[in-house]
Amino acid sequence: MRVGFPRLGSFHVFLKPAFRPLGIDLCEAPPSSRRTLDLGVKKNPETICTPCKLLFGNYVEVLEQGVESLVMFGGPGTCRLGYSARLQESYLHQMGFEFAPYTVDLYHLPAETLRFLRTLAQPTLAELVETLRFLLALIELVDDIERATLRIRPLERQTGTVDRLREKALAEVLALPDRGKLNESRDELLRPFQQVPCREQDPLRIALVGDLYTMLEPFFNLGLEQALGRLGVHVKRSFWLSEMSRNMLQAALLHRGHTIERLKAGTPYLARNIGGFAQSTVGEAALFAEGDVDGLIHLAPFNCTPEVMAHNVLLSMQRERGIPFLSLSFDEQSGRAGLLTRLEAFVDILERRRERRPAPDPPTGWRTWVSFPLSGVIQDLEGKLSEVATTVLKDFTTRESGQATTSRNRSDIQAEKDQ
Amino acid sequence: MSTKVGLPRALLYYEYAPMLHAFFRTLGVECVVSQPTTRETLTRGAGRVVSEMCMPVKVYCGHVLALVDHVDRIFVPSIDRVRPGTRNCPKLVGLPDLIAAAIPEAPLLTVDVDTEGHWLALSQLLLNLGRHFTANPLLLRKAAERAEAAHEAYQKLLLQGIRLPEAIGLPEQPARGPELKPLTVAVVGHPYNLYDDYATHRLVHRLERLNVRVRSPSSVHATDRWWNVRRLAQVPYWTFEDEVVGAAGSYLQRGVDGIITVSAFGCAPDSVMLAVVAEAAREANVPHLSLILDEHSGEAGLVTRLEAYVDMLTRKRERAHCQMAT
Repeated sequence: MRVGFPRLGSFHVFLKPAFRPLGIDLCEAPPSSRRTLDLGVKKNPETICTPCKLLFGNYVEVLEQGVESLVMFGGPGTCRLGYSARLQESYLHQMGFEFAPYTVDLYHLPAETLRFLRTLAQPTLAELVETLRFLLALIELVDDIERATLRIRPLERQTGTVDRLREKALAEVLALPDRGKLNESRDELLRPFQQVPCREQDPLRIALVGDLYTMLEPFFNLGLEQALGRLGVHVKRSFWLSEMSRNMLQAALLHRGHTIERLKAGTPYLARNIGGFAQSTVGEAALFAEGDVDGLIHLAPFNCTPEVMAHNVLLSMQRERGIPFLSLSFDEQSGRAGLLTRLEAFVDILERRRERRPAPDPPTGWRTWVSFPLSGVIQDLEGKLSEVATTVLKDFTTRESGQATTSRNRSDIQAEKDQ
Repeated sequence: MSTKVGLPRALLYYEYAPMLHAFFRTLGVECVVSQPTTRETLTRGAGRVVSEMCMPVKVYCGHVLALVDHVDRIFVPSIDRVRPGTRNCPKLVGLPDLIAAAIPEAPLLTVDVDTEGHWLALSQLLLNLGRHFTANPLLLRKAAERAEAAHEAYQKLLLQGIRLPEAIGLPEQPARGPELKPLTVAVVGHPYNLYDDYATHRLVHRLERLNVRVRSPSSVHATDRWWNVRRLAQVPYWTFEDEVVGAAGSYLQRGVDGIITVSAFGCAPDSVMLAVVAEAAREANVPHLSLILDEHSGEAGLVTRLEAYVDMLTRKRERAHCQMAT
């Protein structure tokens, strides 16, 4: 069964091999292009956001390849995407395409994945578990490749090496047949990244926060990550699907982990869930502001209501925390030259700022290698230990100082008596 | 000395004004309503938020700024799921957060209304609001009852076709044109877009001077509006979808000469709802004019468009009469 899937960064790279054993042939849309955008602009309401238009273009282009069903992004939420998915479905039918729509709720991805699999393939429990394990391993692998790319790109001696490696690695991931093969070839896939000749320096670190689509889709954000990397910046994404899937269980069962930390960090600035990704944007930004990044870039489609709210709130956070912050909004008119100029200026400012202030030490020791599920517990234990230590210390110091004051008082009294 | 509460004359003020006034009066709290929007209101408000923000919110910020030095608390509610299954615009849900970030000097009085369909929205709003002023449950109940009575009376007035500003008791320029077989045009949009005289350049008033009988969303019964939302868009999605899709559907069914939709530039809910309205108008063969407002919209441009639209409607009707005669 052929199922169409729109473009969302490199999502198709892990979805396609994961669903292949179940007999679901996931056809990803061709990479977004000017034509994709034109298709979307032609049919959609004018003032709708550009990601909606691009997604529509993806739907049309993948339907032209002749698929029977189509995965559409939508679902209830405060973002208009849910409403526009319904409109777009009717537009596609008007254009004469015959297909079974399959609307995926973006805010409840795990449940939706299960529903998707059970409707389209009716797998047995064993198959389902195997598929999910394979999917999670693939997500992990793809995120590792992306992470390595982001880390090495600012340091590579020959520009473009790591991009070529990434292309090759992703193509190999697409061809993986099952989990056994994945485990075998995992190290082999990641090894070339460690062998890239690199410069010895500590690059600037810039965190990307904001709308998911803008962060992941290189056609829409005009190759922002690559451009920043080539300017010598280690880009840190706030969204990793692998981390999200790891944290989800932790948050649901233990009420701790990154998701909950993010919620707590963002609450002083944006207390309500206003829909879209606004709350996580603000929370991530607050966490990054505490961490070791040099600057923040907020990405949003032009007119994205939740992100406009987040932008306002981030401005007040910036006043409070003093972290350099650049907000970029993209629409169908964005030009690459203008973007590059702004990025260069921002990077220059950050470099000057760093020269004035020495860089903070990167995290060291066991923190870098302990991973789920121990990381949360250990961090928690460590937090509790340090808390206890500080209270004990405080008690100790106050008692000492208290004694000191009483003894001083006594001596004062003595002195007064003497007088 | 009793506390003074400020009510910004923007956004949802138009929906809940009589209710809030009755409520605060019973509790013995003085309310101050900000003056109607002027250029200065908008400029000051726009200076506090990012430029991408929509005009109604900029106007709201301006009204909050105008109240800051004159009152003790400013009432800024957060209104979310009032009907089951729907959600509100992020800007209306996060309004207190936004105002706290953009205007830190404003002393806010915040109430969260999020019923998820389990509560009666008005009761939740009033009880949570009243708690700030009285601990006396009897007084609170009396105030809530009066407020709900005032809201009902207000809804009845609106259904009788009395225009919203008159029903609230706002000053109004009565300048109606000669009553010559007027055209009937439905003007559809959120009340804060329709009745802010500065932002809309007195749209309703101008239409009346062009000898047009204006029909507004508030004079359709809520049940009728929501029924039409279901008819046109299947499943309700936004909290205030009835004011646009519902009202438009209802008027298109009843038969009007034309339909004008008024929305703010960058309004996320409206950008999708207008597509539904446009489609419905096309099917009903009713001319549809979509006005999108922002802080730069010039008055002359709007007037020209309105005149051209009304001329077109008049021609259309004359031609229809000629065809009927022959």
